[in-house]
Amino acid sequence: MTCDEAEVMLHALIDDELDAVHGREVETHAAGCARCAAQLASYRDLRQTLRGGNLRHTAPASLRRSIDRAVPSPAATDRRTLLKGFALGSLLSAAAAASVTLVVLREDRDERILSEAISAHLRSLQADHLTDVLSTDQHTVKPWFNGRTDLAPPVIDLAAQGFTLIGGRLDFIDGKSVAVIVYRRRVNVINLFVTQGVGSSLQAPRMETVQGFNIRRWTDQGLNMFAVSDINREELDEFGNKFEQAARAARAT
Amino acid sequence: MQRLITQLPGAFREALVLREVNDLSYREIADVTGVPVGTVMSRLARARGLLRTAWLAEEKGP
Repeated sequence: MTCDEAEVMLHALIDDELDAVHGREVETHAAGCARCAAQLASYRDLRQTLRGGNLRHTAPASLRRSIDRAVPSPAATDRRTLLKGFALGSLLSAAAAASVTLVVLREDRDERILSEAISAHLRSLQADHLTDVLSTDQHTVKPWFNGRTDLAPPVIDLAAQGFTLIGGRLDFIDGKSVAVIVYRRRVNVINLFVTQGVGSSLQAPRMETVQGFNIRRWTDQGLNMFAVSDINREELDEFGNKFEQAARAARAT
Repeated sequence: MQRLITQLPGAFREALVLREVNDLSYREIADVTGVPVGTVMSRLARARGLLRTAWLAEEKGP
């Protein structure tokens, strides 16, 4: 890690926004670099001062009163109607509660996993940690994962289709170590996250755009795949299709 | 400190206040301001860098 990279990352460190691996990387760098260690200490001091600076402004009570006056009060609800509504509602909600909770939890988890995949994609671009194994040869990249992760990710050479394999790395999603296969399309990076037992409800390919990044996710052979990139949706979808076709062809041989 | 913060450029001040005063996560700041998380990271770094420089200059005195 260089000082330039550490300079941005150490803010994420003091804000507790880095995962354990990257947090350790920044701390290790700072431990061996007097300049970055001094910056880290200085920013921690600054933060302490900011936190103790009573910066939060409380709006005066007169503002609340004038807003209350300006907003019409909701129509009063008849008490009996309200109770009847509660009785009916409780019957329905008792029947549906468990499934609703499951759905909500799963959606929250999917959201979190997507968000973590994007953060991992960003870190890979910023922190000089795009690949742990740098190779365009699938027969080098695939065996590299042996013993490093508990799944065997499909590593496929898509150079002929316009997507160059450049390597692989380990990353963390949802608290688990995951395999990432890294491709390039012109100057753009595609990080393909391969996870097991996460979001197993996913089946058909889905395209999404989150925080300006495109994501194509699909499930294949019990593995969940998240391709994250800033290439356009059509090209990322093409990447996913080519990958799926090649994976099927590789299994058939 | 409040005066020094008000002197920061708008985008940097916004990121800093949302983080330090409103205690939002990077993801939440990105959602509120409509920029990617990477931009939030760099804006916070710039905001703190500028604030620290101004703060040190203030402490040193004229």
